[in-house]
Amino acid sequence: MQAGAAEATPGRATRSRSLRAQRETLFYVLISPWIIGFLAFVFGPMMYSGYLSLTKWNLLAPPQFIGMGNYQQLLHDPLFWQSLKVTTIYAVVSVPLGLAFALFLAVLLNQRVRGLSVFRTILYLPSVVSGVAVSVVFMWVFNPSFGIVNSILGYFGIKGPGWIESPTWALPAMILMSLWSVGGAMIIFLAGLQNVPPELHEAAQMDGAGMWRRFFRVTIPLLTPTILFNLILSIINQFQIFTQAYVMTNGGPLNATLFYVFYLWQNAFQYLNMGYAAAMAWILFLIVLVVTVAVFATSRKWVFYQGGE
Amino acid sequence: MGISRGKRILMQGMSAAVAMGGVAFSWSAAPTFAATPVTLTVSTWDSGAGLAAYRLGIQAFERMHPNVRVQIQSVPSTYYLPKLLTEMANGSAPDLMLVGDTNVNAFVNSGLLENLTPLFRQHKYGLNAAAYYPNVLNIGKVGGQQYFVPKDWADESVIYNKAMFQAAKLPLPKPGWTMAQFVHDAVAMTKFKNGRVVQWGVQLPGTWLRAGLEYFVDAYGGHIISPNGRTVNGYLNSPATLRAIEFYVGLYTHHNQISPTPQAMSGTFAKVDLLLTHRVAMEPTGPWNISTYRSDPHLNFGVAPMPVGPTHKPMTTAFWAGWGVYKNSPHLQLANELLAFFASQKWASIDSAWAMPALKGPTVAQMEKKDPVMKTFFAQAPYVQPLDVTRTRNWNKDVSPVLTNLIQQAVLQPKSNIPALVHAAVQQIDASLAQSYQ
Repeated sequence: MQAGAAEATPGRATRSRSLRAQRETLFYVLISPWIIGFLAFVFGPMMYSGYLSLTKWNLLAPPQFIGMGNYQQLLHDPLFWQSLKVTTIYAVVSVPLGLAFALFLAVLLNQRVRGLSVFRTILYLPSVVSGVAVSVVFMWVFNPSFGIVNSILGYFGIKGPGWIESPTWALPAMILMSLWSVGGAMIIFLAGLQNVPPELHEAAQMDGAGMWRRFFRVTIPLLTPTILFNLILSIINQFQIFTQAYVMTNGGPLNATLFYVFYLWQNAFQYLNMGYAAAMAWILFLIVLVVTVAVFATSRKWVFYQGGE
Repeated sequence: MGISRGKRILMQGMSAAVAMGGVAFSWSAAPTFAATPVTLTVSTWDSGAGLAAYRLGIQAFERMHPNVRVQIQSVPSTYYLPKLLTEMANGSAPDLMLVGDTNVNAFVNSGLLENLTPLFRQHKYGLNAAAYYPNVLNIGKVGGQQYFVPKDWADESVIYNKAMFQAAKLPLPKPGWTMAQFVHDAVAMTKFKNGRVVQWGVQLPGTWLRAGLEYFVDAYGGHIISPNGRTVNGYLNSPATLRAIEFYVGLYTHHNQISPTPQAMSGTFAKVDLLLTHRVAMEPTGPWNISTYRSDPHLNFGVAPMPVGPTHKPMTTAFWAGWGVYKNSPHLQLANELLAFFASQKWASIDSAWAMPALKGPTVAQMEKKDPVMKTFFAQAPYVQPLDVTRTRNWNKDVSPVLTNLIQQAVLQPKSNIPALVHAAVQQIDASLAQSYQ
């Protein structure tokens, strides 16, 4: 028996190696479309844009290597700092506001009421409307003379501000407008809410916890992985805001809505300053990367996974 | 430029009449025979009726060149420049490309465009500079050399609502009317209800520099940038230009809401025609929406030349796009022939169905005879001013954003010290120009 077993072991090991090799081959064959796509359309262009960021290039003449010249120039460009400031304010205000609003809507949609699917559809619908169409609608919503917002304020005797025509109010208007598209986060929150075990609520209720206490002590902690996910996505999305500035304000008035990606686009395709735009893209990449890593790093302290992972 | 069906038929009829009249087309040189099938590419941002004109024109060209196919690359205007630039960058640019006046200098400086001057000098393929409105043709020149040939053009005039003039008991504007009359009329026709404007006297172009500030600078005898395009010092801050800027800003700040603000014009009203919605009495602009105005039975409109400024000379500004030939085209000779086709009376007769041909001659004569509105636009051709944008390499980056901000700031803060703002703008633009010319 022992001798037979000893003879069988090398054969099994060979078969096992062969099986593993086959699986590895299959793995690489199956994943190769993605790897090829990633190398050709993401990694390759990224590396090339890294090189371009070290050049002066107007797309018409060959790129001219200038080392760190674009990065140095960025440091002295007031519009770069303005775009960074505008985008940071926008992200810092709109991300928590959007998440809170999405969570509020998700909680409402998690109630057992009649016509729930209709409400879910209505509240999610704005998210699937094109950004350009939404921007055009909001141009009129925020029109100081004829817009619905100022008309409503007028009924209460309040003279509404200039909204997108005012350097002071244009950015707040864009932040308010960002609430229009919280549908995606709302759906994810809703899925998270439905994964909260009802028995935990029941147990807390039996222990005398009220509605708010249960929400903050049971629901929110169990929802933190979902909050983390939505937070990361929102940060990445909000740092890339473009369409609203492009359609509604052209970055104005007085650069009040000069978002980072809009200024990047202007440099690339309006100012024919592609090397400079590539440098801006890399800085944005680094900013988003640092913020994302920082959020992940802090998540150990405030994200709770069921099962204690 | 949109056009009504009626006008299109009328113009096509006119074109046919011109053709049947046995008018000799200038495009008469013997075409090149392509031994093997060749495909030429021509890029444009035109669409709809404009594209239909191309198809007609290209059919005629292909009939003359049996082995040549012409492919139209029509790209929406928003994406046109990025696409063209990336094609230039990877060496796959179209053989013939349409370029707007703002980018003329940058494209020429790339060294990727064929210098057309020798072709014009030798009258090759029938190219003849004398056949054009000189001021319109000259916009396609850089350093005295012809690199672009105008596809068509437009100029700025004042389109006005006759009924509003009559209601205000004002005489209709006539050639030679002054800026003082223009302002007076705008003020008189601005109406308020419950403290809100219900009718503006004029729709000023706001931060649309070409139609706004650039025209007024011309009318005051000023310039924005030096002839070599390397500095604005001594030009943007010259007394004449300063007066023009103060006047233009003053139209917004010295009078009570005679026009929507520049912010409104770049925002909510950017895509709204206030003349068509009967909200405004006058609009300095090009002829693009004339056919739409004609289709509104309630809009009784007229057209007048731009008001005369302190120079006492009639002036207007042009809106322009021209053809350039890609120097590295594998079919350079055929590309030149295609360019010559677009510089022919045959093309002018086709294109006249929806645009203003840049070639003088029978087509334009017919249009002027039949259409007094278009006649007013064509009559401004001798007064088209050279465009400052073609003087410098990167107007869009170095000059335009700073001027846009200058106007916004001066209008939003009516107590601004305009000479100080202009001084700061000069510093900023010159610093940017210095980088561009490094």
